[in-house]
Amino acid sequence: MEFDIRRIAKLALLRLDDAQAERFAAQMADILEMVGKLPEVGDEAMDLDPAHPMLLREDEIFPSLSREDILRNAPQTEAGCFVVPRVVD
Amino acid sequence: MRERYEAAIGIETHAELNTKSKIFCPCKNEFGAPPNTDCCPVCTGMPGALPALNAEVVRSAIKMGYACACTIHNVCKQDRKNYFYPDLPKAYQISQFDIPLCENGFLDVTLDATGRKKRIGITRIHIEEDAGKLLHDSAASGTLIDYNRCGVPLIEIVSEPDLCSSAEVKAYLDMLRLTLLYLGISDCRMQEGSLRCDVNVSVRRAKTKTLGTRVEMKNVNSFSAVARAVDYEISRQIALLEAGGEIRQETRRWDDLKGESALLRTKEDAQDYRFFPEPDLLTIVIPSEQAEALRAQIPELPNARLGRFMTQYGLSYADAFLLIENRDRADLFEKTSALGVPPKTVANWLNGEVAHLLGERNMALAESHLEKKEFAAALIAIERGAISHTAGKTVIEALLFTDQTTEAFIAEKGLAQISDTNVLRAAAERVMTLNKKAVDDYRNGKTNVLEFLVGQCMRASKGTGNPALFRDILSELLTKEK
Amino acid sequence: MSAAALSLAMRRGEVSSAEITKSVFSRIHAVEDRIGAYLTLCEERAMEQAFSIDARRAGGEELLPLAGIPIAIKDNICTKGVRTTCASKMLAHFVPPYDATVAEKLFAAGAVLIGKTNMDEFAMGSSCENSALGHTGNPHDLTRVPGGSSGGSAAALAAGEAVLALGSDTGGSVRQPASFCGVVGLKPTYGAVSRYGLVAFASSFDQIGPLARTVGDAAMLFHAICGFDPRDATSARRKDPDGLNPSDGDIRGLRVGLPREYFGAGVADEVRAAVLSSAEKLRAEGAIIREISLPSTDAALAAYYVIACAEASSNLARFDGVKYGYRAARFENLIDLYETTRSEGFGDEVKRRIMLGTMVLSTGYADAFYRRARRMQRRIASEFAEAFSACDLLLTPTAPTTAFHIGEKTDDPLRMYAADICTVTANLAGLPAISVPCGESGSGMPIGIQLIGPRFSEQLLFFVASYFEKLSGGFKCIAGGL
Repeated sequence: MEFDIRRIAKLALLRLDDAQAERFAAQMADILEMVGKLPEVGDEAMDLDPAHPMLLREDEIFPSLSREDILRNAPQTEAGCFVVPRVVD
Repeated sequence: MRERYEAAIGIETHAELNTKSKIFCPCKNEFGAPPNTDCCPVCTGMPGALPALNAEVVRSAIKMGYACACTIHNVCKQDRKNYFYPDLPKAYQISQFDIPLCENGFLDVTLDATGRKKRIGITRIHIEEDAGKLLHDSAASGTLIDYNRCGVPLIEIVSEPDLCSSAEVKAYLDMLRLTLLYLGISDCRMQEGSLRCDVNVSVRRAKTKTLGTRVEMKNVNSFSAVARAVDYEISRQIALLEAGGEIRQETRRWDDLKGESALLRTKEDAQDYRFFPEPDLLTIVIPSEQAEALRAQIPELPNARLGRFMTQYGLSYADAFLLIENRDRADLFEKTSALGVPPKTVANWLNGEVAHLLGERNMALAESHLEKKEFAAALIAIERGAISHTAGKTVIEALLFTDQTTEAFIAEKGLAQISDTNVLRAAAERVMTLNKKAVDDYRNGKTNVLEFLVGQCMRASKGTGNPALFRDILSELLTKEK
Repeated sequence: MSAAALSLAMRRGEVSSAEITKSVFSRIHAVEDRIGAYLTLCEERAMEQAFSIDARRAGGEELLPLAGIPIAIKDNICTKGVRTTCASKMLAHFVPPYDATVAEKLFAAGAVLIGKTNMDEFAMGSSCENSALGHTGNPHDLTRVPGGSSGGSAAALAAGEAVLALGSDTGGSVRQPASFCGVVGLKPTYGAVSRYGLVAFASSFDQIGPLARTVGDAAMLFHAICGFDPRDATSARRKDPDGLNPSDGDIRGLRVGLPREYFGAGVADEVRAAVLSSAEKLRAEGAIIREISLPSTDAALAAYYVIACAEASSNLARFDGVKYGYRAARFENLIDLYETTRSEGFGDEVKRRIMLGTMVLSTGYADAFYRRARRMQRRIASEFAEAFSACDLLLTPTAPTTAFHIGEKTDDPLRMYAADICTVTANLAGLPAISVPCGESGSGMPIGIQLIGPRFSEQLLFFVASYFEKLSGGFKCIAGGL
């Protein structure tokens, strides 16, 4: 199956140089060939499983982490916030 | 030119729910806290964190679904919407894709004073999580990110493109907002961001059926901005078509200060969200008894109440709308009217003086002391002339902000209006004696001096005189002598 | 010594936790240079924990069985205050502010943390060669791989550098290294153990599993970590597994199925022979052995990789250099920050799987790949369910070969993936599966036999596995001179 390695890399925000792109494309083609042989089994894909419903959480507050803990591993912080290069909203 | 075209407008509204905790974690759901102080591994997307769905979010969404006459999908799921943006810590939003919680409903909206109604289709209502907030401070080293808002529960309400003008859009948004307030599930403060809209606009030749290409507009931050953006976009599209151009499907950004929209994204730039079912959550199942119990909790909804106030109480659209805009006010109106006060009187006082006094103190009616029996007593006293209108205002103020009863307050302040003509006549004569110049002026033709003299009588009587009677008596006395 | 024996000895006052812990660290100091099982060692903290347990026991407190037992934890399980790297440059300096639920449970029970073990980066790999931060050798033969992705945990146990260990299993990552290193490894039923705090690879398949030198120890560790967790919506609400004690029960009449698709040409002769001979021993004891077929097995690898990579591509999107972890040193704008960080922070195998996953979810491909794989997953699960109506459990090799040489498969990802064929099916179907040593190859490398049972049949698996353990004579200590 055809695919555009550059477009996928862009969606995944991964940068590949030409050599990497070529190598990845070849490896992925092999994998996709294996995967492409998946037979169509035709049963409806049932994403819903009402026999095993989720137990929902009651609406209660539990103390949050401190701001120090939240920011501790951040590469850059300022004024109690995370920082990224300027973005136009 | 405009008459040759029709517009079709659809609105996507995001409302923050006022649950105590966030949608997927037990962090506090609050506005205005210092940045990143209401956060945990889940809402900041730390490695290893998992979502746990808040039951109250589902309940609130179902109530809105019933209020909009939707089909409730008792069995549904959530899906991941994948994209990169700094306000989205996991780089995906947990939302609902193909099986929304509520679908195929409508909202009835009253369009104008004649009571003309329109039914606006509601395509779907689904639950999802809010993203964080980006703070743009030119003094900072970059864009700052606050994740407090991450994980605040949202319902997204999508309307059919049934709206045709900015006036209809306003009516729809007013009613949508009131419905959320009546259900008590959102505080709907656009200035705090708890209610947000994206608008989809298309135009087509009048009387044709096929909708035109639609354009999406974002960054519309108030109801009046929505109206402006809609008007602008309709004009822009018509102008483009008239000039021989073609409308492209695109997303535009509304700039309210400039009063114009600009291209944000073309269809080709559109994101590939790669929706797939959220594997960290199981199937959501709401047993029908639970759903029915929620339906039973829904109060009379604003549009129905509006119509009923107009027909049952004979109120004008304007008066009725002002009342139903605030549920507590509407409740007090009905209770007070039931105690025998003419509805129009109750409406006037509630929408006028009471609203004004509360507004001065930024207080809600529910926070005040005003209750139906004392209120009714005060209004009846005013109607009967037992106290003057002016005195009535003082009584109402006391009822609002103190524990006083009507009777006790009138007695204590000596506000009982004197209508005994003998007493009034004596007071009027005294005033005329003290204001000889005014009396002469009147007799020389300056008839508007009468009001001044009435005012003096009211002052002399410390507001307890019946002003109408004073006027009659003064007129009589002034014309009688000499 | 086994954990069970050590626990008893501590309770009898024959040995202290401090002595045990010290002895483990002596061993580590002696051999770790060559084994490379650990990425982080916590000697000081471990000794503190050990002393504290000893003091509490001396004070007369009743302690849980795991109290004072030194344990190794795979480095994709969050430990508060202790570096958790997932063997990736991306998290090389990440110190979680919270404990995974399993860590919380273990520490509450008094277990002593030795350190965090090496693994394939983000659990993606079958040899531990994909680690960006360390290199681990198989203690039986240092020129061979320990298996992956929980290679560090398995190697630590085999080399005597830990008494118990935790790993994670998404496509065989607990069972295969267990079989390569001659120890016991269990992948629990999906949902039996909380995933909260396990850095996610494939959310639908990931499970944390115990590794140990004996079946009894694995069972002890499993019981300490299993159970419903409200923070993990996919965790199962079940009472503690009841039923057979590992030492009770009867092999007679046990219906054992051998799925022919697991014994095909890809399986090394020695492995096939060892596994079939083990089956014969069961038959000699009275078990009913029958050959069965699971026809969808050959599609399982493809289905597994599509779903696992799809979920991984989404789970790993959060690593962007903003909130935690690696950040590129130089970038010009936001997109550059994201792209450079992710390109520098992730290794090749991780990137390959993210690319594959992104592709199979993208518009135009999702139907042919992702949704088709989901349907195949359901087909595989129902084939197992059918098999379990006629069998109590299934018996297969854990891996087609014994541990291969370092570097042997690194150039060919597809060849590496193909070796997972025996293990991925249990993840696809959410079934419990255990690997227990059943013999050795001609070159002295351990061979593992896999038992797969119906959901929540861990007790049955422990029972039959302990039978094999008795047969094979239990854990074979590797000669001290490693």
